[in-house]
Amino acid sequence: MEANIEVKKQIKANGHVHVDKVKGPFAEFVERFMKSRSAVIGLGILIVLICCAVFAPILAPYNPYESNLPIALQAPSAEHILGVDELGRDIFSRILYGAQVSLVVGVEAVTLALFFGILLGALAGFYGGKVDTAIMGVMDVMLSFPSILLALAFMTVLGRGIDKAVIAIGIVSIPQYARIVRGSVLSVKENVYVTAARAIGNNDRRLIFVHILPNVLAPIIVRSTIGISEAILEAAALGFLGLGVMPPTAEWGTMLGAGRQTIFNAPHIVTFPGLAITLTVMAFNLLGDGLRDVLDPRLK
Amino acid sequence: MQIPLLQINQLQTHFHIGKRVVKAVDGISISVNPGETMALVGESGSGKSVTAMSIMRLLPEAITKTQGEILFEGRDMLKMSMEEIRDIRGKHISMIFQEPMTSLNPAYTIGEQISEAVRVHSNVDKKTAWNKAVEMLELVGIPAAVQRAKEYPHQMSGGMRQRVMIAISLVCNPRLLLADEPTTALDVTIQAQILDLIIKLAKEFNTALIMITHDLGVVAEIAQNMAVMYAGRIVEQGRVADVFANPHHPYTVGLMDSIPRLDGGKKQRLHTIEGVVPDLSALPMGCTFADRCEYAKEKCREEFPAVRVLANARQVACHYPLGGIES
Repeated sequence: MEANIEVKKQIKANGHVHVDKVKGPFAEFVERFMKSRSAVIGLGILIVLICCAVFAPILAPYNPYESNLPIALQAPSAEHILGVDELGRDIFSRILYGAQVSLVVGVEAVTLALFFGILLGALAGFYGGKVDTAIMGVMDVMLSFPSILLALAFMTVLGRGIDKAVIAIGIVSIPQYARIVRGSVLSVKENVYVTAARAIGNNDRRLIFVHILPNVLAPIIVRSTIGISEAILEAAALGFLGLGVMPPTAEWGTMLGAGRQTIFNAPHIVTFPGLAITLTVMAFNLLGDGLRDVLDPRLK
Repeated sequence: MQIPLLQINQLQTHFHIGKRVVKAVDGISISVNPGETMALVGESGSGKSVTAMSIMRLLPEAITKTQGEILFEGRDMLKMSMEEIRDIRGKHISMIFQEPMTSLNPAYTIGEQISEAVRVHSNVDKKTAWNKAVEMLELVGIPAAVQRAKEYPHQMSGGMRQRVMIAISLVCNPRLLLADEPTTALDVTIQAQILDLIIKLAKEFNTALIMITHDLGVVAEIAQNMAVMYAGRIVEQGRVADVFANPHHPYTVGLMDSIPRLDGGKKQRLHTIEGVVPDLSALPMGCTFADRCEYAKEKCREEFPAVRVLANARQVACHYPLGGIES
């Protein structure tokens, strides 16, 4: 059972598709995926969002950075479907460009966290003992702070900017991946096939990366999908607090922060970026939930 | 006299778990000649598998304490570096496990897994290794090997998977094969096929074989030598024909009486050995089998019986061996 999914993940990771006379594992994965409503909805919204981000220069009706003070704070109208902000910039255009920032920050931060999380978690789980105690001790210390607080601390040290936000959020979320990977490695390494792989002369590095990790991909994939939404939310929070992305850049959290002074006379300035964040986070969560169902061997 | 391929001298494998010391293997000595088959017999928990794992150095080092000597072609494997051990594993000594359902990695095709065994030990390209894998699959009797090499373990039955394991274990042409109850988890109808296959290929590859089993029928069929293990020690060993003809240790006798015989009387009931293997972390000071032995006397409970070496490399560890000993 479990075999099935791992196989599919492996195939995805390798980028080659095994074509089977009966039904390939990848085809089966697609079939199961299509049956999961939340996964399909999540993926659908995501595709739309990604298109918005990629084609923002084409789709955006206005330059997101061009201010037009006379019409500042204007409510949604036919010309500006989502209204204009406090500097007279078109909110719809800014949200489209903001999607680029949010998605990139989310994906990059999770990639960074995954790289170190998988490495540390795998080492801790595989070697156990002192290595485990040392690594997981540090991870537990990091987990004992609220992540946004820790991210803030990193931002104050690193300074402002998109790259810095990615690094701060990435570092802060390492422990969550390390934990999941460690737990999965602990259970997978007990399998006879790991001993069998050792018995044909594999070294530790190959045991971990070739034999164990492909079999723990399912929980990692599910966690990172949801992790992207958390990273986007954290990036927005940093932006809102004025520590994230530098102001002229269109970023949803920063837009929210800038609009909060005028929340009573121009509520649309905070409403639409807020909705954009909600929608994105929801899409990733739906996809993550759906993937969990699709990848869970017990539900097969 | 041949130089043995594998000679184990006074091997002790103890597990230190918390404050307890589990004496899983407690001073065994066996030797296997090139191309020969040795059967390691005993019930669950007698230390057969731990012996095999000790030879391969596959036990978790943190809690395992191993003593004695494991001489493979004259070199002590217990003193080798991990690098030397890795070079031996799979190439010179390989192992087949009991559980074919879990001993293959679900994430790779079986062709990939056989080629891996080749590529770990030699610098051949993927194509060559893959062809070798297909060739091995044909050799272990898997039909349509070219297609099946591209299949994943979950698409195969237990018997097929065990064939794949055999292919993996023999692909580097090892000198010694450890088979840890390779047929226990299989259907009875498949068991004989797999056993025959192992024997046939071991002969073809001129591989010595240590067959771990609790099935004396298997032993009689395939092995030249046998060692009967009980509670981490070898209670009796010798040539299979000799041991079967005249078992000396009461435990061996008990094992033989507990298998059905064709020439037995009509209403003869199967014999059982009462009781269980003693706790390996609190072994009695006398003979470990004394509590279950119908012939046990005072001396058996007080003094551990030394191994007596008899004619024809026959050994027995019993104060009052049965069947008359001519030493």
